Amino acid sequence: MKIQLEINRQTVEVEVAPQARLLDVLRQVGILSVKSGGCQRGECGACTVLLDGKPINSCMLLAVQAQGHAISTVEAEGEYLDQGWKQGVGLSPLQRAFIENGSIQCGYCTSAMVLAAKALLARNSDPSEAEVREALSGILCRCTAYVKPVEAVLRAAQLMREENDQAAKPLGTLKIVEADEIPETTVVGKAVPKVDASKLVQGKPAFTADFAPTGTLVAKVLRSPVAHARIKRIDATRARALPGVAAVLTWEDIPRVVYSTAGQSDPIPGPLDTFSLDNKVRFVGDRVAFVAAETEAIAQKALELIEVEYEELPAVLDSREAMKPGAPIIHDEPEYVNFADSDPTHNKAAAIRIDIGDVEQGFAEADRIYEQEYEVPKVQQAHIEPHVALSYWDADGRLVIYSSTQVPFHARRMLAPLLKLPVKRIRVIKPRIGGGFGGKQEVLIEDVVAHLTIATGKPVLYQMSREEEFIASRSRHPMRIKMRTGVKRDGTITANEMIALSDTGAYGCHALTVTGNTGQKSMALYVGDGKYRLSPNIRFYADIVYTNTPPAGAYRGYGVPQGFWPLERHMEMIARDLGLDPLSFRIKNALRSGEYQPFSTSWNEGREPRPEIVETVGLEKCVREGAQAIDWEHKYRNPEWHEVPGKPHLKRGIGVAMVMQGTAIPYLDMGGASLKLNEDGSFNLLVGATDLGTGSDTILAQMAAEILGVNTEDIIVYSSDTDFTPFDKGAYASSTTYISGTAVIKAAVEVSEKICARAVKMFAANGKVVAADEITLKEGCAIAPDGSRITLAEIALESLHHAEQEQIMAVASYVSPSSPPPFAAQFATVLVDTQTGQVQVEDLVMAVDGGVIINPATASGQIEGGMAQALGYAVCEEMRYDEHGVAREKDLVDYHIFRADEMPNLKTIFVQTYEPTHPFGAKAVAEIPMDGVAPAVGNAVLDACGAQIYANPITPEKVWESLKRTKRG
Amino acid sequence: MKNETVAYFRPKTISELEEILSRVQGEVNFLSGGDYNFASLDQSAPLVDLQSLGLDQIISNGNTVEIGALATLEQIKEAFQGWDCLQEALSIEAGLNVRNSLSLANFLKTADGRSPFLCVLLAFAPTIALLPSHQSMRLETYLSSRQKKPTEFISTLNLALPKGLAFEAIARTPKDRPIICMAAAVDDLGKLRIACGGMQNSPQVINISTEPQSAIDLVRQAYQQSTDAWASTEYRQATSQVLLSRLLQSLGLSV
Ligand code: FES
Ligand code: FES
Repeated sequence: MKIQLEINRQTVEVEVAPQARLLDVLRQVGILSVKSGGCQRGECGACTVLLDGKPINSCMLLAVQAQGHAISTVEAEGEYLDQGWKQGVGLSPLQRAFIENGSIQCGYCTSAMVLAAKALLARNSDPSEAEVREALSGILCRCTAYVKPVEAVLRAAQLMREENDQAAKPLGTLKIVEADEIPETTVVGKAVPKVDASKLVQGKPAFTADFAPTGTLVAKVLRSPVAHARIKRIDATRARALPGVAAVLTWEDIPRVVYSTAGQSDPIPGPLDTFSLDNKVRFVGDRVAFVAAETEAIAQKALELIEVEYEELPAVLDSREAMKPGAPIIHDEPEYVNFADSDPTHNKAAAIRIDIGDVEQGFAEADRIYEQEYEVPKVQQAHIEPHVALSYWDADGRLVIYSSTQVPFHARRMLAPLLKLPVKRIRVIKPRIGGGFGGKQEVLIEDVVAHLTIATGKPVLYQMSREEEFIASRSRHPMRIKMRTGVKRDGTITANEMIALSDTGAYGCHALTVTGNTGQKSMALYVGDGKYRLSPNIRFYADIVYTNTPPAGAYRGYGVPQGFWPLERHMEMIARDLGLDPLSFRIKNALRSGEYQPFSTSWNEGREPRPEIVETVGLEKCVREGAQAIDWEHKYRNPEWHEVPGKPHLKRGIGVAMVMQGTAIPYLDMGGASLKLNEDGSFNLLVGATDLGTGSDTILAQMAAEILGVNTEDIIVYSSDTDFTPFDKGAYASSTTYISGTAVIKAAVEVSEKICARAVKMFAANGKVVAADEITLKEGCAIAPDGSRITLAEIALESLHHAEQEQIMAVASYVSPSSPPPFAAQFATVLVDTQTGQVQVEDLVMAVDGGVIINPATASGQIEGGMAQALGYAVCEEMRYDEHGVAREKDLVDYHIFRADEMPNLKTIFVQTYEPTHPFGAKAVAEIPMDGVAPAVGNAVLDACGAQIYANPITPEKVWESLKRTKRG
Repeated sequence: MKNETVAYFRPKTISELEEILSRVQGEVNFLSGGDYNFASLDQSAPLVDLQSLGLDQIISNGNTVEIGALATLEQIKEAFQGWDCLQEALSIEAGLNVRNSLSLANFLKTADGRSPFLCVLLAFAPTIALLPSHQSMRLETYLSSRQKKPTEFISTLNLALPKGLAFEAIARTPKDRPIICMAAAVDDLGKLRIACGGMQNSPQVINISTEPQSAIDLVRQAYQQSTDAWASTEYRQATSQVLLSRLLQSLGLSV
């Protein structure tokens, strides 16, 4: 039917299916700022439009219902000011504030936030912080913790009230202190706006789904309703006969190639146990068939017409049952390829046995031995942009795949054998990513669209629904962890042991490496003191088992949060039992600079260990700064502070956790960069690194700009396309600033040398004798010691057109011999209702040593966003299954992530050390905020009311149970 | 496959609506404002959009309030200024976008026992009116007989304002769906009505016409078999007593 919509004050006539949602129709007419989070209960708000001036979810209205109403989208909000010979109107104050304030990370929620803020400011020009939070409450942001978006709205309100002279009051209260002397820099260390911020704040086409050409087929996947079964019969005849269906693929139709979906360097450090489609299903949600059709409704109908007969098999849903004799075998396929100690006949995906020093002797020397079992849940990355991929054949018969992936190069390499195509005939393009957090370090759906494009010859788009994200993507490995620690009476740790049982779900992607990290990063923090410091006694054993639940995989922190929950809860228990100050006890035993990362001497993800000395440890200063910020001295052990006057059932508590992480995978992961000079003195920087919203493109541009003496606006960053950009392992393991950054720096140094060499000749032509190493690159010029200068544009013109023509450019790559750990102290205060067990987190403070901070705005954004995710891990996020393996959480209502209007106070402190293994002294910050919030909150709950919670999240019933047990005593 | 064109109507009056319904054969899809999920609509049935019938008004008349079923949750929140616990329940129910999008009618179609707003609404003892039958029924009755493919739609919800209203909830975070929530309203005669939520398909309602004391057992009974994926009976029964005493205290009653 034909309808008329008033979109951004223009009447648009459009042919729509009567039951088409407004969201889909807006995208159909090219309004691509309106995003889909795949929701069924309107939970994400990414699809926000203003309807008659009010923010609504366009997925909650049919297009026909919107007739007669005014629809506004961010396309009408503002535009680039400078458009060549035409002057644009420029960006709106709101858009400018979002950019200047560093409020945009992945940008998938940004258009929605701008619209919601616009609606607020239209009726309230001077909102309070609470009113701004309420206005943003319908839009979930998984990246920012809402700190900077809220600041931006308040700032925009000021701008619109023309109070430009007043500085906005910061909410996030970022502080930067220096533990080492940090060299002066011009661009590095500055909060420059993100290089992609302008396009994101305007809602320009930037994400995978925005690039689907007209006529693209819609893909859907039939998923298993049972946890474990053989497919006895599958008949797609009726589905194929449905008009509008272009292809239906079952396991009988495509090559049977075993692989792992884990996006990692070659060889994959894990078992190969997965097929694009198989004749066996191993969890509720496993793939059964692929469909491509003209519309989503037809594809859905086709799924319903596929007949499947399952021969149900007994399922293993509890990791403790997986390795027992007689347990059902989940992987009995002959093609299974072992890695290291995997053993599918016992449902074992991997095993780890690490002994450092003489652990038994350490226990023998202890005065006290503390033992306790802990548990950590399965949790979801919950990026607001679901997994999405688009594929088509190009005119040269090459398969082009757009994908929201963290690992485009790994994807290309891994897809080739599945598709029976050589690598050279596959091109993977990664546009902007709407959040990943490790969930997109997986080759999860690219094969679906690729198989369907091969089958149909047509472009195919597949975007997972939110429910599929929960039942069929990846998650954090749940684990059961036993701690055993030997301690002297003075608090010296003599031996520390962690035994983990990790549940990888139905497939072993990242099974070994995630769980390896659990021990390797957390158990390295406390080496002991005195002679134990010289020779620590540490044991980490783990079994990683298959179960018939959705697979786990990579999630920000990559196994480390699982290690720090038990470790830091355990340390707290020991400190309290021995009557020691929890801060001093930890610092006494913690790793110090100049010491070996103890695990580097014994383990390296199944490869040869390479001992590594930790050069920079700012932990002690982090503790001091964090303690001061949270006012530890006046709160800890202060009975008065713990009480709430007039409310005896409410108790306050304060807690701490100390953590470390890693920076990149040494001797393995490589990043590359290519840099070339243009005629106007600007540069193209091509990187394979994948900015998933973290701001890494901006940081790479800053480092190049620093060396080349230009502004970041003069660095045009492109990332990433396997045809054009150099190889990069992708965005994971906190490696982009460190690995890809060093590659960029190497390329920039080489280019700068070429520029200086050319400048020497140009100075000489003017009668000036200057040596190359006397020339400084600054302000877009090559400057001689006497101050005379040649612009980079002049150098570019000379080198490209006038004399001894050459393209000044360089390609460089970097693989690191080290993995310098960032450190942090994380603090929390809580309010506990002792009658109900309800916990409210009031403050979170994180003081972090991430080396030199390249961009304080993007880095603090990482810390804030990470803390918010970790807060969910602390109190509400978990994925549970019933006795049939059916998920309890299938959307972002039941799987609650924090809203803007319920966040605690957040404070970030950067303690800058100068890491000598990086040219600018940087380490990493993106993952470490995940590690310490949950144990700090657990410790604060203990401090408040004595409730000992061994399994996160800390839910009201667990607190209530614990208090009840204590009372029974 | 081309999408079959189905008829779309947007009547402006009830009589126009009745005329359309008399003309249209078989099932129709009533569009009662914003909804979560349109997948349940019958693909071939005509669409009857109710937005122009004036059913989004909220009219208060002395002690009674009539809420048009197409009023959004946010309209309701704004209309009930001063009723803090109703506003709080709505704020927990959903963020602003959903509240601006979702109509009361569509909320009532899908709200379950964990809904804080439904819990508070039930404490008001409301009735609903249905069209085209012009039938009226208690909200509890409607909730227990909700159909997937309704042949009628809710036109209004009517309630009398109580003398006092209180709401308590326990959840993992301030805006998470409650594990247990309870709302209590007391009328001019001192009669107490308690909605016990946090579980099952809809909150259970208890009317207490005698001493508030009797509420203790009745509330405990309401949570008797309440173990589900979110909490145990033991927890809910124990904390319901805590919430009950807080409700009564804020209503100025004591047990
Ligand atoms: S709320 Fe509309 S797509 Fe998420
Ligand atoms: S910036 Fe909000 S979801 Fe990524």
